[in-house]
Amino acid sequence: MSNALETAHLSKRFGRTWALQDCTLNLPAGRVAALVGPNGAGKTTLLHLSVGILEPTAGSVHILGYSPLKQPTETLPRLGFVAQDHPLYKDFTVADLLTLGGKLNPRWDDQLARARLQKLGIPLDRRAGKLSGGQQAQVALVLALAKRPELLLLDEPLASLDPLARREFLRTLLDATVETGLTVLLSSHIIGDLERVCDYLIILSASQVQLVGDIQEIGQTHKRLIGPRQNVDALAHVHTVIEQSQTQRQTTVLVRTNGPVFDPSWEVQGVSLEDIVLAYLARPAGEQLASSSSAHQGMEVVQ
Amino acid sequence: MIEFYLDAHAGVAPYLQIVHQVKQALRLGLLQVGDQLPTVREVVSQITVNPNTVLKAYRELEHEGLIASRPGRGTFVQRTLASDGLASHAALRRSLARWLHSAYEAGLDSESVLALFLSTFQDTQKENEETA
Amino acid sequence: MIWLTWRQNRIEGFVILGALVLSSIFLLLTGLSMTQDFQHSGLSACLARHPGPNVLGGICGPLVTAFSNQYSLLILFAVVLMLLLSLFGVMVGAPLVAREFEQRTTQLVWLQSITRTRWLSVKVALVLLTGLLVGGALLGELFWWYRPFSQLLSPLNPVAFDFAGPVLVASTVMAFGLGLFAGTLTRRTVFAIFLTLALLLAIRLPVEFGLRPNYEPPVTITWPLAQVGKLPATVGSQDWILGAGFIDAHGNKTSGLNCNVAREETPQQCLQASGYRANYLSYQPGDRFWTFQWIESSIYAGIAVLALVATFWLVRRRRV
Repeated sequence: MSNALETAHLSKRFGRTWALQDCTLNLPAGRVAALVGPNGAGKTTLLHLSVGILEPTAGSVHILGYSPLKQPTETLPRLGFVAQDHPLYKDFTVADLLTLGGKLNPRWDDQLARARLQKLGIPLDRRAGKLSGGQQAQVALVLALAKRPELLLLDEPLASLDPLARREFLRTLLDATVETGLTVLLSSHIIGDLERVCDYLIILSASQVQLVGDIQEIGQTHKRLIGPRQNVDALAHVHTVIEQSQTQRQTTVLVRTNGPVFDPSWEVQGVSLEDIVLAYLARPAGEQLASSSSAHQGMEVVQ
Repeated sequence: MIEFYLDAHAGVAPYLQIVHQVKQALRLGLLQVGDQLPTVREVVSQITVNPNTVLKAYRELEHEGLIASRPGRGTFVQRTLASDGLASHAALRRSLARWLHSAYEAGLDSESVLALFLSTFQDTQKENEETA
Repeated sequence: MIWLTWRQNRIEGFVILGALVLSSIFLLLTGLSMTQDFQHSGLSACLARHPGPNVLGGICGPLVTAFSNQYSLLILFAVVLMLLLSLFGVMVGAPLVAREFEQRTTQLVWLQSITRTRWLSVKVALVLLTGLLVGGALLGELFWWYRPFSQLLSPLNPVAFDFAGPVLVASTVMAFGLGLFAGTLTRRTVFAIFLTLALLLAIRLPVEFGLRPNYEPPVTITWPLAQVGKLPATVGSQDWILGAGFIDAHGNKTSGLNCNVAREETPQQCLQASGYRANYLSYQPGDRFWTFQWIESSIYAGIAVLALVATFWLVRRRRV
């Protein structure tokens, strides 16, 4: 299976601040991936580096095998991007925006765009600035989809949308993935909506990648262990401890398991994706994970 | 055609929820042999869920022999679960009724009976899952 | 991309077109009036009968003075037009890239399928082409309109020089180029406009008053004190006078007259007594007009080219 997006030690510094450090990850084709992390974690930087509107300080990034910086004529037609707050030419009508797309893109599906907009009930003669926030987001999405991209990246597309608009947006997005098999990477600082929609996860915090992998695998291998108060060192020899808390009588640990947990003193429970993400985000920046073995296939915890 | 729903907070994986809903529909006779299941695209449009989730659920059901996909035509029900109908488990019904009677005689009210039943049911489920 | 440039700038396009039409009508009407007066007042015939370099001092002098006084205010209109052209250049150039940064539409248009270089090239080419056409048309009209005066005054005189030749177009292109660069650098339209206007002042004033008198070494002539106050016959109204005065006892040029004229003395006696040696006059001959126009146009065009190259470099540098 080829990778839609590959980065190798990708880093970006602005002045003296590192916005992204040593980011190495693969995004397999056909996935709907979530890029989560708090504000300022480097999500926008990673996306901008991926589409070629930012130059890396170190490392490399490849889109479908091409370098977005050195081969823009190869990557731009295969790429779709919806920037934060979905910018549009506010005084253009929706029809004008479609004309823009048609003139600037070799592979433009005007019929598809019009069909989708009609289904969404967005009038073509309305100026973009006069549309509601949800409608603007949909127009930006349709514009990106009509390019027939192989990889679509979205920067916090749901942030300014009400719940209904969010649901509609995701529905349009998912319908496109069924139709074309396109790969999607969308960033968000809220995990809630994304659990049912995404099947791949990238956690970014303090400019570093914390976890990358298939969501189902993550759900299966991460467990919450509850037991009588004890030292977790023995546990940490075999499994990776992500988070632990101790009360007077009880120890609770969130681990990435490396095989089954044999110690009967631990009660093993499943963990929701939201709790897994929060646990990774709560770790202090730069803290080394007490990991034993090498990374699982298809999923790695980055030190 | 069956319409799915997703309970995001059920603690059950989305694909399993779809599997359960298909099986329940089969049991109740809402789905019968030869009925067409919604396409992946239609399900995604109904419940805004990752297409792979639907594919996984359908694969599992196909693995159990309940449905079969015909390329180019769709996915159809092959076998039903309601072969005997709930009515035919008469022996089970009777022993359940006897148990209920004993529970009331022991002094439990309706809510307690239900709570007792549910907790035992869940414990048994867990045991089944762990041994499976 | 051509469509997009037009669609984004069509309001400005219509405004400029409208301004061009209005100015052309105004120039046509006033130009016809001037030409007619030039004939009917007898000035045209007089000049034909009495050719000679010094028009003001000759027989036609009073007619010349009358004509000049009548239309001197109108010449201001041409100056205003020239300034407006530069202002238009700045106001079209500054937002061309800056507005896209401000509204973040760079993140939309740079992610379509064309490269940034192509995006900017088409925008700049179309706007420049329009500017050259409009500027060229106005230049032609102004050239015709100014014809009567061109016989009365030096073409090198500071007022006419700015609009009577290619400098008009070159200075407009420079205004556009600097505006574009300032907008791309600062990414703020309004600030860029003011910055560019300041830059234009800082460039044009020194060029006009410092460089232009010296594109070629000025011609200096001297003549005896006996003819003080009388210009030599070689110097005429087509020539641009830079400085006039006396050569003093040390051989230096001075325009001052350090002389107390007692009642019986003539000015000449006074000058001789104070040690002045001769009259002097420093000027640029009128026939150097086209040379000077091309030199100054090249300066402005060169600055414009630098500004455009710098803009392309900035845009390619991947700042979003």
